Parts: sequence; structure tokens; C-alpha cells
Amino acid sequence: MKICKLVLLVSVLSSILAYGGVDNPKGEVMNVWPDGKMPDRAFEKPEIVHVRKTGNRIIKGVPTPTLEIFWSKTAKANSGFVLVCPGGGYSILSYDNEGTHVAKRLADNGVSAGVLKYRVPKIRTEALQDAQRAIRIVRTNAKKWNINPDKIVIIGFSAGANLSARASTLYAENSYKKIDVIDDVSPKPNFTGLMYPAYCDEPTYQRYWGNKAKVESVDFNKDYELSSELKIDAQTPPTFIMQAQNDKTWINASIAYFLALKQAKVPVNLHIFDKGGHGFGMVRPNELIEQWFDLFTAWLKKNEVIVSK
Amino acid sequence: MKNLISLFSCILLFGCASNNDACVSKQVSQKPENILQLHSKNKEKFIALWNDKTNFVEGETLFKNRKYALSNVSNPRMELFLVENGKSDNGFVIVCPGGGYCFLSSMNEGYKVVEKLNKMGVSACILWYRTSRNEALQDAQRAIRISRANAKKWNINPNKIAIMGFSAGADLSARAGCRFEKSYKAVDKIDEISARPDNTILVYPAYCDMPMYKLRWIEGSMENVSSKDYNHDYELTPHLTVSKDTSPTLIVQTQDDKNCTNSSIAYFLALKNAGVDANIFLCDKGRHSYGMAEGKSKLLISIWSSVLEKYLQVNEYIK
Repeated sequence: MKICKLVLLVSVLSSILAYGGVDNPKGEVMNVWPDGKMPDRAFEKPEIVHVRKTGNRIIKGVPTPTLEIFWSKTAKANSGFVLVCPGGGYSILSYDNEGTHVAKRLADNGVSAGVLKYRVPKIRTEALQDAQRAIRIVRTNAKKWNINPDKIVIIGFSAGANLSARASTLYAENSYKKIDVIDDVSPKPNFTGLMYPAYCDEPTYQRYWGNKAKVESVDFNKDYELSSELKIDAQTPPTFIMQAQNDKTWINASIAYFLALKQAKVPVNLHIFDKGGHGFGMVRPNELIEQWFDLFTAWLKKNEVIVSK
Repeated sequence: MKNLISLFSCILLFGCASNNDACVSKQVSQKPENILQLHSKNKEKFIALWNDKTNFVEGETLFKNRKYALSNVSNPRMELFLVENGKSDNGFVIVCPGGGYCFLSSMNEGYKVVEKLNKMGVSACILWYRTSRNEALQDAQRAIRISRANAKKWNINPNKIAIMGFSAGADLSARAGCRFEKSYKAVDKIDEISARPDNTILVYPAYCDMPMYKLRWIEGSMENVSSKDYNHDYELTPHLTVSKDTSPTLIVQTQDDKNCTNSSIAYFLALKNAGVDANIFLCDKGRHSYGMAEGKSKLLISIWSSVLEKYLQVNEYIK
């Protein structure tokens, strides 16, 4: 009897996992932290995964952050690596639409990519720790993985883009104490990609993660101040930004980050298209903005992250 | 007699072989003409904007002797490049070359552009406008009206007429896209038609932000360009009256276009604030004057024509 129940449980669980995994690509998964060495907080229960009708997995609690790598079979020698941070307001992760599908397409286009399952919900410091550690893992393994350690790109969607922006500007400060030799290398990404970023402008940063009282009345048509959390200077990595103009609540994140990069004379590509909304990831919204992925890979080629010859 | 002819031929041959200058000068005169010669040769191709005088290109000059820099246009005209694809509602783009309102950059920002547009399946024309700011706007508005009036004859859709410009030509296009008041007294019935372009395409626009506008048009000199604040002043010039009725826009620009980049940012932010559909394709490198950017293959800006093509497809200029 007990064995029957166990078999039933296992098959139900497997079919849930299988349903979630059937249309989603699968990469090589590795833990971000060695056993017992993960710093600070994490979700204390087993991971919660909700599978949408589209097959997109929404992860609602991450006890163990991982890196899921999609190796490119067509990548040439000396090509780089792209770290992909899904979005979800730092509360959930849109794991496939803003993660595995992106990484798989990048791998098909000549660059290996890894999806960062960073810690949620609502532990932003820990998310940054996961990002810094992941960059260090990639850089340390560059020779072994046959990739160029100076061509590491971090990209993200929405909150994942904010995480990428933090990783790209706060690299001078270690967010956690050194654990092993992996932490000897720099956590600074060489390039940044922000896809419909959030919280990079001061008003939305304060409103959601800071002091709400500071943003009593904001004129979204005038306030393009960079979030006080981010520090941009001439050393900030070259950046690719894309967003839809009608992404009303969040569009100022792109503009604020762009203007700060421009002021610091950091090379930046800004692609804002009129329609598309927010959160579309790899789903083509049948608008101008659907060309974003092609523009992004073209940018990766010009920067030799994807090597042509 | 035969000997004389042989002797004469030998002298000619020798003369040619030894006197390289004579041969070279012959070759030079057979090279592509300058823009004045090109226009003089093809007078009947043009549509006059204001009168029937298509035939006069008198008084026009080359700017600083540059072969393709047309200056002193006194008889403003359109040069049509219609696609012949059997369709009756092709999109139409009026192309305004740049040149600082001093000349018209006819090849890079004229002929090469319409060639590309035709390849995409879009009909087009080059607007040879008068290089003085007020008259240029009159010419642009008149050209839009003439195009709309001839929609049936030209097999174009009167609701898919865009104006596209480069540098000063982009400033002109932006003005046409947001100023709908009559810039001249009506000449005929054509002037009853709307002069509002359905879309505006601005490629490395100039003079749209206050600092640059002031430098060029109020102080009258670009000498102090480098001392200006390009990091904070994104104020739009007063001559661009952006409102919710302003034409939807695509802006193409690069970050390293020195004093011109802020034009794009100022205009884009104004469109955003007014709720007008705005698109900006801004790359880090490319500088200025690259036209269709075919010579910039190492840079991302070189693909901007594919962004243009998608823009024209999504907006139904290409079906």
C-alpha cells in the first residue's frame, strides 16, 4: 500500500515536472554556492514552481540558487558568455520566457549562456550575491570552458535587468565574504544588457525598495534621475538597453540609465520602440520591438562576444 | 595620302601615350557628373513645387566645389522615384537631404536613399528644397500636399506619406511633423489639402535642442560647440511645437555625434511627454553624415536600414 502511494506521488511529481519541462529547453545545472557555504538568507521551504498554460515556469521561492548553462555547439574560439537574469519584481522568476528560452537561442546563435536562478522572494542583497558569485564562477572556469574571460555579459529582464545593473555598477564592493579561490577574480561583467529594466530611475527605486515618502509627487515626464543605488562612471561596462515606450511605469528606468551612461561617456546603445508593453521576453509581440533579439545578437557580434571568424 | 594618314595616326597615338595629361583629362570628363550637370541634363524629370518652371536650374551652384553638394536652389522641386509593382497604394517617403541649410547632400542623403527605399518596395522622392529655413518649410509642406493630391496618379496611399530627413533635412522633417499652421498663403486648390506627414523619420537630426539651435541660429556660429553643456540640456527648441498631433516618429542616431546627439534626445523626450508614438534607434558609434551607413559595416549603425524597413512594414508602407 505504502509503496503504491509512493509510486503515485513520484509519478504525479514527475508529470508536473515533465509538463513544465516538456516545451522548455534543459541545460546543465550547477549550484551557485558550495554546500553549506551560501551566505545570508534563502527561502526556507522547498522550491515553489508554478507552471503557466504556456509552459513558462514561474518560480516563487528559491532555496538553492543555480546556474543552468546552455552550451553553444557553434561558438568559435574566444567567444564570450552571457549570464541571463529572469525578472519578476524580485518576488518571482519568469524562468523560461526570460531565462531558458533566451539562453537556448543565444547558444544557437554562437555564444554559450547560463540562466541564473537567483534567490527570491524579496531578498535583493542575496540576489546580488548570487549574481556576483555566478560571474566569478564563469570567469574562473573560462579556460576550462574555452571562453574569453573578458567577454562576460550580464543581461536581465525587468527586475533581472535591475539586478544586472547593480552587478554592473557595484562590482567594487564585495557583497559577501570570500569563500574560496573563485572569489579571487573580479565580479565585474564586461558588458551589460538591460531588457525593459525596472527600478533604475530614482522614483521607482524609492517607491518599491527605498523610502516611499521621498516620492510623493513625481513627474514621470521630467524625472530621469538615476537610482541612488547605482553608481555609474567611465568604467561602467558598455551597455545595450531595450524597452517599449508604452511600458509606462518602467520606461524611465531605460532613460535614466542611458542619460547617466552618456554623461559618463560609456558606450551605450538605446533602442526604444513605441509598443510592446512589459514582460514579453522571447514571445514575439508583433510589434517593432520584436526585433530586439536580432539587434542584441548583432551588438554581441560587433563586440566580439559572438565571434564570427 | 596613306602615308600622311599613318603619320597622323602615329602622332595622335604617340601624342596620347606620351601626353598623359590629355588622356587623363579626357577620362575625368567622362566620370560621373556633378549634381548641377545631372540636374541640367534631366530637367524634364522634376516636378516644380510652385510653378510650371521645371526647366530652370539657373543660379544653382556647387557648395565649396563639392561634386554632390547642391546649393542656391531657387526653383524648388521634387524628383520622383515610383515603384512599379502593380499596386495602387504604395507607401511614399519624401527624402530631405541634409547640409546645414547651406547645401543639399545629394548622393549620400538623396539618391542612395531613394534607391534603398525603392528596393524595399516603397515609392519615394527627393525634395530639392530652398536652403533657407522658412522657405524650406514652405517647400516641405507644399511637397506633402502635392504628393497627397497626386496619390491616385502615382499609385500611392495618401495616408501613408512620410517625410524623412538627414541632419538639417531631419530638422526640416521634424518641423513638418509638428507645425501644421500654414507657412505660406494658398496658391491653388492643392493648398487645401493637409500638409501633415503620416510619419516622420529623422536620421542624425540637428538643431532640435536649445543649445545647438541657439549656437547656430541665434548666435550665428558653431565655434563654441565644445564648451556647451551636452549632459543636462535636453530642452526642445521653441520652433518645434510638439503636441499629441505630432506625427509618429523614428529617430536614428549615434552617441558619438558630438553636438547633434542631444537633438535626438530632446525630440524623443518631447514626443514621449506628448504621448506620440516614438522610436529611437541609437547606437554608440557612427558619428554623422553616413546616410544609409553602408560604409560602416564594422559598426552596429550599419544595420539601421533594416530597422527602417521594419518600421515601414509595421506602419503599412510596405505590404
